Amino acid sequence: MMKLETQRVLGPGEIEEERQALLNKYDSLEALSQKVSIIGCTRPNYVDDYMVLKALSTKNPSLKERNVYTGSDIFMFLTPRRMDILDYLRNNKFESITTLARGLRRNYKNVYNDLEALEEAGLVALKRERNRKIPRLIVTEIKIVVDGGGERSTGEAQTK
Amino acid sequence: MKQTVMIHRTEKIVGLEVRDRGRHVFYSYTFMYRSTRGEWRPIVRWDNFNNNPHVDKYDDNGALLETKNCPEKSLDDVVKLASIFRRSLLAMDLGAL
Repeated sequence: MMKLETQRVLGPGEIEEERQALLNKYDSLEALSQKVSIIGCTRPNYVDDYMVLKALSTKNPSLKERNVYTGSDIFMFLTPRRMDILDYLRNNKFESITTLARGLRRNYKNVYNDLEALEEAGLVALKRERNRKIPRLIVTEIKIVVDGGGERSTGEAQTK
Repeated sequence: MKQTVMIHRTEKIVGLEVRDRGRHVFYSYTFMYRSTRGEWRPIVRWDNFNNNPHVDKYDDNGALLETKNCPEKSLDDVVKLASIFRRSLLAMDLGAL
């Protein structure tokens, strides 16, 4: 079976953002711990959030994200034009989708739709700022794996 | 590490693994499906919360239906089970698998 794998290592700033978001949602690790001890697995998200918050509250935490697409759907998110976007984002920073579309010489709406699909696939983040969205490449690695044996890298980018 | 494995456009496994000094201290692997409304809902979940490896089943509204103890699972084990049995997992005795 063929599969497409993407991997992302979160930086210290992103880890702190994730920790703060969980603290905002649950007030404190202790409050979440109490909730989890009462409701347990009836709400699986609480258990996962508790384990993440606990791990991120330790000294020097690290967090990785990995996405795997299998079967015939592996290229659902990666069309040639979307690969162009990833490549372009790897080498350039854009302050809006408009400037990215201009750089790619493509229609804004089409670029926007492609970015939304790439965001859903976990390859790109669209950071909301005022009335615009700033596109950023967030994966550090994209791989195609065949039968778990030989691996062929389709592209590699470092998150800044 | 947070992991997502797409089994199908409407089915995925969401995994969480926590390590402490290289030791695996927690895992959870949740098999989810996308409803017609586009929301992802849990069907079956394996985890070892409180060092108790078990498997949970959920109904269409995400309410817990059943909990059973089961052997520890890896993400590969869960991907294999979900790829083969898909939503039929809900009707199976998962404690024995």
